[in-house]
Amino acid sequence: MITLLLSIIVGATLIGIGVHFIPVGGAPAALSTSAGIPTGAPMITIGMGITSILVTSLTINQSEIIVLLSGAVASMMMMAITMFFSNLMHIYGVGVPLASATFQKDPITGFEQEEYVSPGTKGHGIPTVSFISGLIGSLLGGIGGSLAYYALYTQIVSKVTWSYMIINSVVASLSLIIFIIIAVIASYNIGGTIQGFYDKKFMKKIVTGTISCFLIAILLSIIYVLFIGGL
Amino acid sequence: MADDIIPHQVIILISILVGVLGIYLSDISGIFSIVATVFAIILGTNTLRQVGRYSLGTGVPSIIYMLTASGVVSTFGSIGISFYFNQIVLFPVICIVASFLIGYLISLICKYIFKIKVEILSKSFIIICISSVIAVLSMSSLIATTYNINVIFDTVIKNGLIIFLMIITVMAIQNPYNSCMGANEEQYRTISLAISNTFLLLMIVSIICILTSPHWYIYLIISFIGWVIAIRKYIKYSMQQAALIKWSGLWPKLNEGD
Repeated sequence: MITLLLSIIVGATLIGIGVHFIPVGGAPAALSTSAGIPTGAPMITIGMGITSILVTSLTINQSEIIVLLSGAVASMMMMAITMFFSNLMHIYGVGVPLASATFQKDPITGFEQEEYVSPGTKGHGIPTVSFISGLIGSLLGGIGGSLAYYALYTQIVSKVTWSYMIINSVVASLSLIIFIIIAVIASYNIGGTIQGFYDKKFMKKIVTGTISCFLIAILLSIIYVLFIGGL
Repeated sequence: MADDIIPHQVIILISILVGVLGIYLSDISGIFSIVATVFAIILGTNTLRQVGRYSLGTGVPSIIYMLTASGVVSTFGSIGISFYFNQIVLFPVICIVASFLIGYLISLICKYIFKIKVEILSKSFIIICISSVIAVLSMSSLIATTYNINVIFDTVIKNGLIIFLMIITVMAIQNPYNSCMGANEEQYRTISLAISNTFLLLMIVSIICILTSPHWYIYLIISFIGWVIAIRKYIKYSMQQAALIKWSGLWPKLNEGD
């Protein structure tokens, strides 16, 4: 039970930190007036969680490392595909270059982007550094989700004699709820848009975000231990 | 926003009472579950109307996503407690008490760590959490045809239907306010859309009842009739509120900037 408690706390905190890395633009990004993924932080995190949970449930009988890595790779692939197609839409559909107003020079490509930001907007599309940041965020989120999934699965398997499918559907419901609650808590902390770890806002927000996700994770893990203990 | 025609306190009292009674009477007939679901969604939407006016840092649907998920978490916790103490009769009450506690704890975190300064935050979070629990439980009792936790566990939770019920509760609670909000948002219009959404979703839930209940077609017909009545009311109220703009061709001056 202690393993379960610790795994859920660590997993949920990792998801909470991961959400802060994802470049979220919200509704302004959908109108190409702000950089980032054109949706809210909760929605993209729930999508990330669902892909991670699906792949984790397929590889759950392998060793722990493979389970964790498959969840992480699944959510990274989902995030990369989302950001890539969002960029394609922005470049060929809307016709804007990828640039952000929150930093002048891209630290990875060295691209001076100030001239490319349209006047009156905060940038458009997802620049390279934000793309990398989104991948890091989904890596952390995927590892956190599959860690919680693995711990819940092993604990429930040792307690009951249900079929493989029933156990997986119960565990998937439990871990999806962790994703939903942590995603919304983290997005309350972010409060609007963020452009990944190179943004100045990131350093201000990450500490309170980690603390609040840790507190929520403790609450969730206690309730889950109650649930599994009562089975 | 115009003044409310039905006071919020009256809605809270009636909805919680009718919701709990409806869940307990679901052994007799599923119609009570349908009534309980409708009242729970009305309570959730009316509370969202109060708290949705403040800017909380993220979109309106996210509040409901989080609080409904917390409601489902409290359901899981209460299942553990009920199994441990072998309590079947008290299960709905334990669920509501647990959701009260979780909603309060989450609102404390929002207040003291994120420093969101909204007076009615705690109250609204608790009430939305309770209303979502009542909605999810009453739909579960409609599918399981009883409020007995052992049957609900077999028919709703083991096959993952609880996530589906959670998502449709989110849809029913957040959609009416999100689509009606604006300068002349009014209680009757929003609530009638909430009722029509609920009946639309209950139609799907009553089709799921084919697996468990022989009376599923009665629930389907009741939901369809309820949906027709509610959506007609909604269209009528929308026409009434649009009349001023339609006749004069100007923006409404009355409630602007509220």
